[in-house]
Amino acid sequence: MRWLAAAGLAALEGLIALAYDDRGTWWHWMLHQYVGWGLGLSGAGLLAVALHRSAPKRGVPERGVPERGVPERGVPGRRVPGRRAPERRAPGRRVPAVGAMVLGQLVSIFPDLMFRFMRMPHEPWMDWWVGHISMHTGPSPLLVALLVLLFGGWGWLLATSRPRVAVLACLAGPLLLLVACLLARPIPTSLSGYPASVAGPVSR
Amino acid sequence: MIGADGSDRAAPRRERRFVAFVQVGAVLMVIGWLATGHAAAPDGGLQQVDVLSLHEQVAGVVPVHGRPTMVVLACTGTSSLPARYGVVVHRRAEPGFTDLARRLALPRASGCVAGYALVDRAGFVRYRSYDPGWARHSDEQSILLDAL
Repeated sequence: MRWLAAAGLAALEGLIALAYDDRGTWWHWMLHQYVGWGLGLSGAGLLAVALHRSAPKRGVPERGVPERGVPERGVPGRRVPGRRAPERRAPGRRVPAVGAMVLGQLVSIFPDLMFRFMRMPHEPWMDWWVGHISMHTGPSPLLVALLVLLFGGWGWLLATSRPRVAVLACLAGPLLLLVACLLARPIPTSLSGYPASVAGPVSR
Repeated sequence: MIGADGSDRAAPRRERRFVAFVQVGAVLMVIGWLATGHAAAPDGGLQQVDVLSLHEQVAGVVPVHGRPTMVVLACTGTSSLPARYGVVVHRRAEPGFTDLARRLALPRASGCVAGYALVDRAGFVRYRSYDPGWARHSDEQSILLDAL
């Protein structure tokens, strides 16, 4: 059953990729999928850290040091003053990566789904869908999208083993995207606002 | 949605590998995209962004029979748009092509990088974009033309 679900998801992702490629918008596919997956992983990582921190603490004896109040081995009834056992949290709870990535992806490409299925052209307010419009004209959009994905992935991977680092990584992606969108050039409202000569070839 | 895994290593190992695989794949895809000569931000990030943000009249650009019209500047290709839309295709050999390309902010059309502008019924240019695959993208164009 799990393999069936995985195959279905892979097929769906393939269809989405083909739909973008068919319109000659592979560049847009990379931007929006990376951002969606990255933000999904960031959210999952933060949720996992929150669950980890809210888990009840429990004492675990340090190796080689008898826990305070615990009978010494081999000496029935004798208790020794040991170092206080550090409090550790219960094993972490992990938020599934695939579900989080798909959720983030749906949020990120929602304006494209509206374009395709509701025949609705893009509009500036669609920036509410995780910077769907502004990120095109922000600084280095492809690099920003890639970093959002990398930060999100690292945050998710470290969520239960290094929570503090994970929180930083999980926040870095959304913050980077926000800054990029704030720095973005607005979509031109007159023909004179378009770059007369942009370096590099135009993608197919 | 949330599943207890019991340990940091056991259950999520497959998921960890998957996330790492996606990250590596994304990096390789970006490297491949740039290494094959594609622009990091095609047309300054504005290629096929599909926002009808313009409202401007351009000399020599008029709608066909008062219908929403696509004005194409291309060296090759024919439109597959339904007949209910107006279509005008300008070829590079035509006199005034370069000047029209410049007026529509599509200067690279002179170098055979195809682009098009969409004109509403009142004769205002509402959108322009480079799109070398324009002849295959009638669905995208019809969505935009229907909104004019």
